[in-house]
Order: sequence, then C-alpha cells, then structure tokens
Amino acid sequence: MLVVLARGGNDGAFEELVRRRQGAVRALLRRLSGNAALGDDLAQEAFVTACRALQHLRDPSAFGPWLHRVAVNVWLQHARRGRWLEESIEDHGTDLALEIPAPDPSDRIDLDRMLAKLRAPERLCVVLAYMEGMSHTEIASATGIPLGTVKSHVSRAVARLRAGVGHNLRGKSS
Amino acid sequence: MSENTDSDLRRYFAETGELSSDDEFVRRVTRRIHRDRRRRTAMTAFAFIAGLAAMVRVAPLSAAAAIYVGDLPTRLAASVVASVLSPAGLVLPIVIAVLLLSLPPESQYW
Repeated sequence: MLVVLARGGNDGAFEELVRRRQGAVRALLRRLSGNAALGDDLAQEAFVTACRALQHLRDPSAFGPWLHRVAVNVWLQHARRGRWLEESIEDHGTDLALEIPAPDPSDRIDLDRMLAKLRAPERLCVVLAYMEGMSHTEIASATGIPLGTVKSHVSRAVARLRAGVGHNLRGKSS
Repeated sequence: MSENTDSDLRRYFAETGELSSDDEFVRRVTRRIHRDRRRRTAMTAFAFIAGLAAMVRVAPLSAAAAIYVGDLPTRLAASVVASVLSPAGLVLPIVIAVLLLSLPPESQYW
C-alpha cells in the first residue's frame, strides 16, 4: 500500500518507506563499502535514485528486493568510478567501526573487522552471496565480474574470514 | 569451505542485517530528494527553453533553404515541418517562398 501511494507521488508514503527500510539498506551499503560514513552517503543516494525510479517498479510487492538491487547498483557505480573493482588497485581505507549490532559483540568485532579488511571485489561478492543470498551467476550478472572470478572471490574471502574468525564461529555453532 | 562456516556466515548476516532507525538519516534523504527534484525541474526547463530557442532559430533557416533549392514536394514538406516545429518561425520561409515564387519564370533556375 505504501509503495503504491509513494509511486503515485505521495511524499509522506515514501518517507515512511525510507524510515522502514533504511536500517537494512544502510547495513548493506556499510558492509559493501567497509566504511560507515560512505555507506550512509551511498544509502541516501540509493533512496534518491529509488524515489526517481519508483514509477518503473511494476510489482509493488517486490519493492524490498528491488530497493536492495538499486542500492547494490549505486555502490557498483561508485566503485567503478573509483576503480575499486580492478584487481590491481589496492583497496581504499576502511572504517572498522561499522556500528552494526550483533547478538554477541565479539561477533561484530571479529567478522566486521575481517570484512572491512577484504579487498572491495571480495567483499562485494561475499556480501552479495551471504547477506543478499544471491547465487554466483546472479552476482556475475549484476556486477559484470566473470563467473569464475566471482567464485574465486567468494572462495578466497570465505577462506580469509574463516582464518580470521572461523574458529570463533565454529565454536559458537557447535 | 566447511558447512559450518557457510551456515554461520548466513546466520550472522541474517541476524545483523539491519541497523536501528535513524530519524536524522530520514530527514537527510528527504532534503536530498527535494533538492534533486528542484535541480531536475530547473534542468528540464532549461533544456526546453534551449530547445525551443534552437528550433525557432533553425527551423525557418532550414525551411527557407529547402524551399530555395528543393522541388515542389520538398518546399511543401519544409513549410509543413517549419509550421509544426515553430509556428512563429514560419514567417520567414513563407516570405522567402512568396518572393521566390513571385519572380518571373525566366529568373527561376529550378
């Protein structure tokens, strides 16, 4: 209902959508960028883009996934401008204080610190795979990164995460 | 990759995938949307005015040229196009067409 109202030009409805969805979109973009301030700035840009493009959304019930796709595209555009996705470019500075709450604070510190240390393409692939639940093929299609490279990014990123916090994670799950 | 690590990563992201609500963020987004709308409106108005000015300026000249060098169908088509694109700019091609057509036949070299 809110999406239909917002699509019809109701500013109050869109503001309510922002209020409800901002937590998830900010968390996604903070993790993709590895930087809280940059993540929030890109989240603002994602909502502005979504507001502009909302008329083209055919199925209002698909608003959530569509908004996440818009957010990922906003990050990809930003990353391409900064050439973050190129293998030879070293990752930019990251802000480890992502301030993302976790059930156990040690989880937050360990995993988010390790995530922020990953190279941008690895972080992108692992976040899209595990946070957004996208398949490798979907990631390749959305990002333009070759499928084989996506697989190796995910594999390498998970190995690095496992090396950093895997012991802790396995200990908690057993 | 161990199955445990895989499922633990999914669980971690599922449990920590959302930040708490931030009213200041919502206000910033709202302000940015309004600013974006004003900018887009200004750009659309500018493009419209610039396009209109270009059409008014160019349409009569191109129509006049077509009337001057073209055959009868071309001249008619140019007049129609000029009138559709720019009613105000139709004056010049009509004046030129009248002048050219009013010349004695021997001076008309087309």
